[in-house]
Amino acid sequence: MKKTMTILLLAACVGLASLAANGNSEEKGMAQTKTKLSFWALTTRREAIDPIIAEFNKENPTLEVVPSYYGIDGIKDACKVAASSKTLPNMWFNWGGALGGFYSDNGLTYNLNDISSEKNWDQTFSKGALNLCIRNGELTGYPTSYNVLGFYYRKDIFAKYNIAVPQTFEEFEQACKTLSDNGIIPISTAGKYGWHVMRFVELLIEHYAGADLHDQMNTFQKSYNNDAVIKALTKYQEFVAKGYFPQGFVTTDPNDTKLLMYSGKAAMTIEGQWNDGTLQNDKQDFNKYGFFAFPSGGTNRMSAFAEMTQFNVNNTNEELNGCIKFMDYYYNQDNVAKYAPFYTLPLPRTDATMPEGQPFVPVMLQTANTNGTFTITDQALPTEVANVLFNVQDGLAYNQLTPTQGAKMIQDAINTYQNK
Amino acid sequence: MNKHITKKKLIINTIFYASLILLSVIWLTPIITLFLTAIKTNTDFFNGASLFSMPQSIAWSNFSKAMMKGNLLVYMKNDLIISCLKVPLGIFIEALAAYGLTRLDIKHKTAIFIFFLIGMMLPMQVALVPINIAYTKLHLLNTYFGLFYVYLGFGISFGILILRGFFLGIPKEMDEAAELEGCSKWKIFYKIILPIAKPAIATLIITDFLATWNEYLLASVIINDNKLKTVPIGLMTFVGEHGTDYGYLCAGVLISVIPVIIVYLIFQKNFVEGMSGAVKS
Amino acid sequence: MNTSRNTDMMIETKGKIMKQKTQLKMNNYVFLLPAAIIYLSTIVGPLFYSYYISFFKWNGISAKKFIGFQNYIQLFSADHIFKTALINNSIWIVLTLVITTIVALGLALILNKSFPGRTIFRGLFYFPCVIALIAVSIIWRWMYNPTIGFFNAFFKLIGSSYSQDWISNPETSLYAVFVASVWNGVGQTMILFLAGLQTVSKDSLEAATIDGANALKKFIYVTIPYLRETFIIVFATLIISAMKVFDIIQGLTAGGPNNATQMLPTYMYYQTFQYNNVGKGTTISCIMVLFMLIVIVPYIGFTTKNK
Repeated sequence: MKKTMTILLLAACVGLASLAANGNSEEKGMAQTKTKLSFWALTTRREAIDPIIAEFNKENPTLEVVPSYYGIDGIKDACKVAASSKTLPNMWFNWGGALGGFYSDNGLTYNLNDISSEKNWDQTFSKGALNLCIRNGELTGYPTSYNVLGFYYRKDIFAKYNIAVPQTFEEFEQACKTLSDNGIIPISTAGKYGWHVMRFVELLIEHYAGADLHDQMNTFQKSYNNDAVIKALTKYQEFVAKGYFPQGFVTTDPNDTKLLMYSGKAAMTIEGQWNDGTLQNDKQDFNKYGFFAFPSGGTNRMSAFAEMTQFNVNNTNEELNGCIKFMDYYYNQDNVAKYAPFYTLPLPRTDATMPEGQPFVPVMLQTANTNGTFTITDQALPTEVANVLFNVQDGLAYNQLTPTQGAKMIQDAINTYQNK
Repeated sequence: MNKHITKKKLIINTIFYASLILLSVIWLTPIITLFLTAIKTNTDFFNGASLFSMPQSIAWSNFSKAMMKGNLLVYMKNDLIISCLKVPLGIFIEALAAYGLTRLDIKHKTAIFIFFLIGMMLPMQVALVPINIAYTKLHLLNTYFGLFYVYLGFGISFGILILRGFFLGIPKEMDEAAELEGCSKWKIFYKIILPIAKPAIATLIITDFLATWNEYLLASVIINDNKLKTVPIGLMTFVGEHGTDYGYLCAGVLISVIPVIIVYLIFQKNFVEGMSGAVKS
Repeated sequence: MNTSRNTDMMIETKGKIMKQKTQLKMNNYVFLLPAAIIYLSTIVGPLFYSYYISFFKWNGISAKKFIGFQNYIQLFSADHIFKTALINNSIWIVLTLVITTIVALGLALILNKSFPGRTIFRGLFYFPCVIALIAVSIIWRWMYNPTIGFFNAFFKLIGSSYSQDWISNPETSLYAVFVASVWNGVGQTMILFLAGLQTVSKDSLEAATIDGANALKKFIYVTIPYLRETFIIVFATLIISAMKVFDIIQGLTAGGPNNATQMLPTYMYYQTFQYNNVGKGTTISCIMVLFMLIVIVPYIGFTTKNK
């Protein structure tokens, strides 16, 4: 009996193994003559990526792009695991700044400087986008989106209470007070993960520190433990105390900030130009909304970040050229027009067309060009330092620490990081 | 006298049922939100003053969208294949080991048991990189066999824990009686111990099926191919970049729960047999 | 003639029995073999690997740097978030052991009695366990939402001005998340107890009733001893799952606000996957395993001896 059972068990295992083999055999048969290009992308764009890949593979018989899809958090973890096990794909989606920088800092990405000069990419891609993808003089990825952030506000609510678009920081504070007095939440934000609240705190820092000091702090040339930061944190704590943010915002989900805007319970929120696409998807009335760049002072710089596709440093020439060909194809005008909702528009290219029916996109980009931009804080700072900032944001909201302590905590984190 | 007792019993019964129903309603409040959201359209959801407001109309489109666009049926099929193969095989292997650890003459039984228990303590994240490296070398990535093997491994600790516990509760007199009749160890295991342990095995089937069905971490690392993905990974794809379509997500969650409920309903009947059946035999 | 034959036979049989006994002993180990093979290849490898890595400073990619026990020392002496996580985790374990056990056992006892509709109620109380954790997080986030959530709305409805920030307030957030976790997990423990209650001998209970014992005495002196093995299972499972709690924390608060709900597994995740301190992150998981062993091994050893 024992023998029969052992044999049965072995048979079951073999049966499963053959199940596995079946899954792979199709690909093995065809892969002999093609160059396979593995591409890790976001699931949210799958409806566009799948058909585009099918077309591309048809038109390019020697190449075969094979996609794998991940969620927003999933792709970060998957890439880290792959990096440690040396199984990164030929090309993958990534954000700029410290997030993508980890891969280039550790020599995992292909240095695109040569290709860039060869193909004159400085004339194809917008300057802002290229800058955000360059790290230590090296172009670390193929720019796929360029995003700038500012204030979206409810025009109708502003009109109802006779609030004009604030041109100075004092006017902004006054606007918040008027809104709050009339039972409207001035700023809709959400603190889970920290980065949505950070969008406001970094504007306060820009206001009190000014452009130059802000940039120097973010590149660790000057300390974060200074008066400007303390003033910014104090003002943030003041806003919390005055109820200018939704109650208990510290752990609400950033994906839900729009709910308060849509129902008219809140009047302002900080979002990037992609928000036009969101408003379109959610069938909101654009006449009710407006945009302004935060009056932080100086040129009223806007926060910006980029996304890119990174290429594996171990790609052969054939694979690299194949990847770039696919990227060019994916971002060509036809595909963008066909699958517009799945791209972050407009593309970071000099010939980019503005998406239809999205009025604030050109305004925001134009303003960003005029006013100038600074790198968004959670990409400028390494993750462990940014997380300390987020802890400080939470702690200040519940008076667990003082702004002075907060500023010191951030600088301590920077010191620890640099001494790693 | 009789009427008095029946009246008292009636009152007690009514209070009993009333409190139980009240408790259930409170317990299920969060799930009511799930249902309500699943049947609301986006407009309803955005306008909803409270999450408990009734929808204007029932959005069946959420459900069809979840199954079609969300590929939920494919993911459920995949998950079913894996779970239906893994659970019986896993329980069988664990039962063998638990039997060995409780009834056979093996040295250092408790030490071996604790050794098997360590598997439960290991946080799965730690295993991600070593498994990824090993599977890449063995070409087991993106295979159900690879996923299956890891699931078996991680399930062993809990299975042995439960089955050993229940086997220990079965009096040894039964074993001895059977041995006198000339039964081999194997026969005792198969014909006596397993049937008596039905409540434990039923519990384990339900628990193990649920754990395998909802397992996310290992599946996300080992399976890249979209056609092979399982339900939890599939549900994560319903979360958007700048906002989530909650109606769609909730509908997907409700649909994906159905197989687990079916398994539960099938196996929870086995709770009642237990010792009474065994004593008779 | 017969006697010598009998002696011969006896010697033969003794020899056979001796041979059989050694064979049996080998066969015994075969029962453990399938589990052992799979277990060794999937768990033990990563386990040793993780203890090995904990002695290094490593970002996951470039060369490892051997630093001995530095990771352990640094965590315990200089890392205040680690200390917070350790305290939070310990509170969570105690809460889980006490509250989950009581609620689960209570439900199991009630639902063990024979009454019509028992199956439905068992299913209802088990149902929350079945829902994917992503949905559980979303639902409870809505329940706890200070502006439009259920709890605060309920208080408004009954005319009370009581309002809480639930998971946003650092003082209440750990307990609020715990409530969500109990809702999700108690059904699991309940069915373990239900299975255990099936082994309680009805004869013993009847005998006790005849002896004049009331419900409480029956429970303490008859039911509980029969549940001894079930308790081992339940406690071991609860301690381990409380130590490893990750998904519900990550889903509701991501360790916030300001580390009020930071646990060892979530902190390990941040260190390993977000800060790229793989050595440190792995050290945290090694400490977790040691912690669990220190708590569980004596408990099992103690209960196994007292048979």
